[in-house]
Amino acid sequence: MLTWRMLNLFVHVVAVVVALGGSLFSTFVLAPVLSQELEPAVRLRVVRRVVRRLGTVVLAALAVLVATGMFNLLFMGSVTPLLVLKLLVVAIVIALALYQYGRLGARIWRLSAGGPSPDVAALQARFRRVGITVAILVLVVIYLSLGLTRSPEALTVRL
Amino acid sequence: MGGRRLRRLIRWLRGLAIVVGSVALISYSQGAHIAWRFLSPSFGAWWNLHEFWLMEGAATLLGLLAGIRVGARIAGEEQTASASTAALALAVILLIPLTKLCAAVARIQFIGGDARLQSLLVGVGGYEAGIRLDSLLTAVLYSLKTAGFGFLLGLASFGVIHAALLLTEAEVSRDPARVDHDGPARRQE
Repeated sequence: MLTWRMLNLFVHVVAVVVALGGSLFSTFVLAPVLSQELEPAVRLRVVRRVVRRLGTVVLAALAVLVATGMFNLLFMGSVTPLLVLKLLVVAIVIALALYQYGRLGARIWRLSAGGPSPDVAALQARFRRVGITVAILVLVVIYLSLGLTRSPEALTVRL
Repeated sequence: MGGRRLRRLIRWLRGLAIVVGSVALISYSQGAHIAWRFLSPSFGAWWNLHEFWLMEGAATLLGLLAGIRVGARIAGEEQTASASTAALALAVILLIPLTKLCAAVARIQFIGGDARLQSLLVGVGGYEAGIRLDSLLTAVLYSLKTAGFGFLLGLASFGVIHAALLLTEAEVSRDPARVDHDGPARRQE
């Protein structure tokens, strides 16, 4: 039970939980509650700090995913078409998360320093849409991962 | 490091990786270390020992640089000079272990020469040419796979460094939107 492979897989799965769970919580729980409970100026002040911190957590989790994923590959010892597809989707997820937190999040931070404005609201809407896209793609990655644990050796493609 | 100097450094490293990687790839796939041995036995022996890792190191570095560059483009280059510099420094410092990791992963299901492809190449170009072409193609594919994994690592490492720097900047900078809600209460006390 306590092997390097299991430990690596455990860290890999925890990283997925952290990346996906944080984003879903922020989008479907935190944001609606803040919009109901706080005035716009105070809400914006809280949200911009949450976005900064959450961005670090999500991107760190994705980096851990990539590293542990590569070690998983070494343990698996084979490449399937499903795995190639999963790696492509992971690359897209990282790029979108970087766009969401690195570009949109940074612009929200700068523009919101002076308080709420229509530009900030538009950026926040785009931030939410990208976030939902990232979450859906992560769910696709999880589904493909389930397939990887089930696919027969016959599907192995030698690249 | 300024944006222009950083871009120049990245271009220089990319050029170096392409030159070294190409030479090492052709030498490794074609057994060209023999030529070096004729010219200089000691250098030829050293080259034979290291040409594979030079090929893989160059491929990994190319992948890492591409990942960092793409990450900087996505995040908006005007904000990312610090993150790019840090990611680049990390990539150079960790190049040797990352090369070993990417090369090991790229080796999975790696074929020294698929029988069908080799047969096709031999059929088209003759035995000698076919075998050499198959070796070259295999080395190119292997290097591309290594660079691909390097790209993923470069992109991911840039992302986390960029986000961490933004968070650090946010924590230490004075936030003009910050309102001291407790101020009036404290002053009354």
